[in-house]
Parts: sequence; structure tokens; C-alpha cells
Amino acid sequence: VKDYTAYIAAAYILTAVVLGALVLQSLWRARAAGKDDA
Amino acid sequence: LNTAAILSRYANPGRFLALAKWLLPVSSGVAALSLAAGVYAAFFASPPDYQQGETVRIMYIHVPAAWMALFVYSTMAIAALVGLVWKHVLAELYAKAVAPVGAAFTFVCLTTGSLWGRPMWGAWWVWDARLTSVLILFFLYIGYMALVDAFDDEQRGLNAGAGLLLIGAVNIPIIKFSVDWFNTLHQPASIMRLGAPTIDHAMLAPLLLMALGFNALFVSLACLRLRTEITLRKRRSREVPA
Repeated sequence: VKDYTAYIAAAYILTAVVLGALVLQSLWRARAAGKDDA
Repeated sequence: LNTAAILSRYANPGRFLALAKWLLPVSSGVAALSLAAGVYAAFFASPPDYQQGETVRIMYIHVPAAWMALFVYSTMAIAALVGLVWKHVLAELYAKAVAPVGAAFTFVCLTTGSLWGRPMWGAWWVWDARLTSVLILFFLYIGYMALVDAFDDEQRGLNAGAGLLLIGAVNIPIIKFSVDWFNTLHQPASIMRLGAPTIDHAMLAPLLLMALGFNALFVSLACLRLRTEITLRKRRSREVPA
């Protein structure tokens, strides 16, 4: 049986990076908008 | 409450902000818990597939991401229609706010699919109906974001974007039924089908947990980003006196 660990790890890491970046960008943008608005 | 009553109730941004105040922490908590439980179940509480072996674990992110890609676009298209017909402020801003979220889920769907396809199909990519129609969906998200930002007048951008969303909505049933209409390498539906799911319960549980997590994450991001859009619009309306 071939070892496919690299493909599985890459899929999960990539998902975490993309969604994590989106969360951070959303928080950063909300913070910036809130600051400017105050 | 009927649909029209709900629509008019949340046309008032103040009411949405009050809703988002408690919904955001609740959905964020649900997202964190269900994603943690889902990842645990995906790796430690579900068996390898009898044909695909361990690579089936990619399914637990690939399939929920695909569902979200379609779901987010569908909600954007409905919001575009509501925005165009009833000049519903929140509906107009909603599509703009969640477009990057939908694009991110579509990107995750495409890339995890590729990482699953290479070991199982022997190809990173094939130009079959399912993969190509999802790639078009990704371009629709990107195109919408570019189009909305291309106008100096925000309202004109939102209207043009809404038009694109409505035209692009024809792609949604094409994606869904592409695996039935065309001879594709991609497998047909196992869960969202008439009749019972064809997937084993041991694999269905982590899949549904991850789907719940992605949905809750989407609700959180939608609340957060829509709140930001409301703040930015308020500021712009102060800067430019009507």
C-alpha cells in the first residue's frame, strides 16, 4: 500500500492556512473600520 | 413571520447589528467545537476506505467545502435579487461581504480535490464537467469582487455585481447535476441525493461535523464582514453629503 500522508497533510494544512488567513483578514478589516469610525 | 416581514425587519441595519452581537460569539463557539471534533473524528474515529485507503480523509474537508461553495453563491444570488428588486440595503452589502468567503471555500474545494485526485485518479486536474464548472464558479466569485470594486460609485458597482451574480446562478444547477448529465471522472452524489446516503455511518459522522463547522464558520465570517461593510457605508455616507 502506498503512503499518501503527504497529500492528506497538504490538504489539511492548506485548508487551515486559507481559512485562517480569511478569519485574520476579516478581523483586521473589522478592527480597521471600527478604529476609523471611532 | 413570513418572508417579506423578515426581509423588511432586517432591512434596518440596527436590527442586524443587534442580532450579530449575540450570533457572532455563538456561531464562533460552535465552529471551533465542531471543527475540532470533526478533525478528531476524521483522523481517529473513522476507518480508511476499502478502495481509497487513507486518502478518503481528504473528503472530510473537500466535500463540506464544495457544499459551502455552492451554498454561499446561492445565498449571494438570492441577496442580489432581493437587493435589486426591493433596494434592500443589507442584501446588497451581504453579497459584497461574503464573496471572499465563498471564493475561499471554492479554492479549498478545488485544491483539496486536486490533492485527492492525484493519488486516486492519477491526475491533478481533468477538464471534466464537474471540475470545470466549479472552476467557473471560482472565476465568478473573483469576477464579482473585481466588478464591484471597479466603480467609483459604490451603488453602481453593487448593481453590476448583482447582475453578474444572477447570470452566473445558472452555473449552480450545472455543477450539482454535472455528474449525472455528463460522463465525468468525478463520482456522483453520495449524500445530497434522492434516497438515503450511500456512505457508511462511520464516515458520515465526521463529514457532517465538518459541514456543521464550515457552516458555523461561514455564519461568523458573514456577521463580522457584514458588520464591517455597514460601518464603512455609514462612514462613506457621512463623508459625501446627500
